[in-house]
Amino acid sequence: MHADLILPLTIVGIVTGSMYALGAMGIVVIYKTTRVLNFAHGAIGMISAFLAYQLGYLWSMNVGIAALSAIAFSALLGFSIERFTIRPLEGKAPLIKVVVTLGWLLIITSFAGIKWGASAYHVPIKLVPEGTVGLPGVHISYADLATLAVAGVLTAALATFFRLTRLGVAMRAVADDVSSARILGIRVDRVNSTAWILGSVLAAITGILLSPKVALDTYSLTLLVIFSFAAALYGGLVSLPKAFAAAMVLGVVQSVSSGFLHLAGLADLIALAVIIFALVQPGSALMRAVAKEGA
Amino acid sequence: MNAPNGQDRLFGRLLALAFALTLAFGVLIAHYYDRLGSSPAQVATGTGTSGGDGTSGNQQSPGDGAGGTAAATPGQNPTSVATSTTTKTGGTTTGKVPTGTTRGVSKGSIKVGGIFSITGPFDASPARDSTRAYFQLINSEGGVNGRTLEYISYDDAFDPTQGQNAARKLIEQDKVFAIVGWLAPNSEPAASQYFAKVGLPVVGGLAVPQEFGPRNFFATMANLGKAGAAVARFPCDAKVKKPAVGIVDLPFADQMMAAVRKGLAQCGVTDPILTKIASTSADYTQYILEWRSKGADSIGAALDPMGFVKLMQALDRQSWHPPTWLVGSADSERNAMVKNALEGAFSVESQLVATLHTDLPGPRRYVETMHKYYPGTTIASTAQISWTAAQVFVEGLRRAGPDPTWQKVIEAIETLRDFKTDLTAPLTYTATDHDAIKCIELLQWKNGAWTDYYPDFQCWEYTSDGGTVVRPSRPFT
Repeated sequence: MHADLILPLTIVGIVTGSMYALGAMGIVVIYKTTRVLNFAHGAIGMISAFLAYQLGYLWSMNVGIAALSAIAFSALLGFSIERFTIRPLEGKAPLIKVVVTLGWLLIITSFAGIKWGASAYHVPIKLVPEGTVGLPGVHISYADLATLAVAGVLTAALATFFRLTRLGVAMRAVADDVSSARILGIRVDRVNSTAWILGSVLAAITGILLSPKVALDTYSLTLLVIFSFAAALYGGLVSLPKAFAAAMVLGVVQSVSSGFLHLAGLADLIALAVIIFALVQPGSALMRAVAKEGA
Repeated sequence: MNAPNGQDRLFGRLLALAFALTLAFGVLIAHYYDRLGSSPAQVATGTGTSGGDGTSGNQQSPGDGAGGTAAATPGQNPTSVATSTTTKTGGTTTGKVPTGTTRGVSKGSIKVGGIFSITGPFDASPARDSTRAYFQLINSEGGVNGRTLEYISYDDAFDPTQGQNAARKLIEQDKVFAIVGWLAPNSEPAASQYFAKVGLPVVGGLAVPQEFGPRNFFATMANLGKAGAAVARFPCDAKVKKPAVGIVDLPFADQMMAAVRKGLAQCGVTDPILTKIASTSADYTQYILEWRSKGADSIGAALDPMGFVKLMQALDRQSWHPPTWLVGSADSERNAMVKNALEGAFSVESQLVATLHTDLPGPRRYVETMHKYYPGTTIASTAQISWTAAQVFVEGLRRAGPDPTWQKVIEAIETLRDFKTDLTAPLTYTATDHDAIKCIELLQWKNGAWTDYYPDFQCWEYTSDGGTVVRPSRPFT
């Protein structure tokens, strides 16, 4: 590989990493508060992007209104999932709740497949105008820059939210000890609902922003979340800054290594390696989280 | 930070062990399916007990061949009349045809099957709808020799395992008479071996290398293992020196790359940049950067439908617009997504792109029938091969007479000489040559639409040394 490719490939990797980071935010928010690993996260983003497509493209609605409507829908969906399928399982093993999210994954993808067809023949709405910015050795689209900016701003905003706001502190308290939180007067159900709404809204933002770049079908957006899971796992599923950093590193390693090794499945292999590393590394954030869960 | 305790370590080790076992299991599965794809005899795992001569009335399991005899291995003579051989000698087709199996044929109808990638990154639903639309058209006109066509199709979800299951289901459960119009890029190599073993007529498909050789297969798309050489002629004409060629990472990618390399070598290009492209990659910018850094002066690509969009988007972002050659990329909806980036690009099509030629009766019939039966379906060039497949099959069925058998239909299709289809140059199949698509249409994207670069088909002939000679033109129809 030419040495002068390292910098442009790094920039491309950062852009890719920002996509993963966006996906990781919602996963972390929900797990951090409710201790439920939401496998339906990508599917929620996917169906929100499809709804935006239905409103903005098929029904020719203003794209901004279409996007906001889709985000509102995702909030309602997140609330419904928590209120009607997760909350009744309070006190049950976390694994059961995870299985419920897998069920939602199947329901949502099946519904989207029936309604819009499980194909790539959809024109996603574009919130960001077309155009590029020249950086050393590479041009980046406005949409990529927007994704990077949104991912960075959301990470900082959410980290601040959890640290400084009353609701954020309440969410952390619920995550730490539900019983104690109740004794302190925190309305745990409401906090859990809020986490699901927030996580689902983040999924919708991710889906709508990324659908012009990733194919708008029932498959691509849903599976893109695998890379986000890898990043979120590295942050123990609870640390937003660590998940953000891991997403960036994952994107850059995938991009730069592709310049050395011409292996079609290389990106997937690297993500798998990150997941294994996050899982088995002694003293990792995830291991601590698991130990805490079992304590 | 707390040090991990014993429970943590045990948990970690168990997880590591689980991953190791999963990987090992995955390797075993992959190895198993690799064997399925490379050895027809290995496919024969069915447990049916009937069979024997494979004649009418016997619901023969594909696994038992004829009286339990395994299929011939490459290079050997067939040992069974109920199977086709997979002997390949250059581009020729060899082997005996199966005897008179008529399963799937009833008094009033004939069951025909297909496998399509509907869910997943590749959408073959337009191909499925094209096949169905042609059969519906024929049924509305009274069917073939008094029988209507009943079409059964399955989605392989771009997954070879599901493709194998669908193939077995069509044969063992649905007992179809023929496979027609199928399009399942990831499943076709292995499923083709299975269908070759069974011996039923198979018309259409993506023309992967495994679909050339068995006597029961009839391609309606240019041979991907060879067309690369013919396709390379056009970049050669443009005097390119360093083309970069990206081919989607599917099981036939290596053969296609070899063909492209061979074709480019014919015009002195001995060092092209050849890259396999992962269809799951969200961003193709890295490929573009690499090609540009290596001094590519032009780009060729044979990709999945969305891959074309990602490639053109990545080129456009980098403001790099070298001469670009695409294979089978004409698709109204996806082309519209990158209409500016496509400006000046060429596309090589093995079918006459119907939407460009509605002034001709064949394309007009295709477009009107699709609008009638499947108004929401995209008209895409990759779907047209299925329409042509259905047309070839129906003609073979018609010629086979009122009591069709596998043998009769296969031999009937082999009598087609300059058969006029709606969407291709006239097709000829013989007992030794089922590679009938040897003409391509060359398009160029101008002012937001595809236009004919040459007014006629460009056709080629294979030479005795495996090369190709391209003849300048042949009238459309």
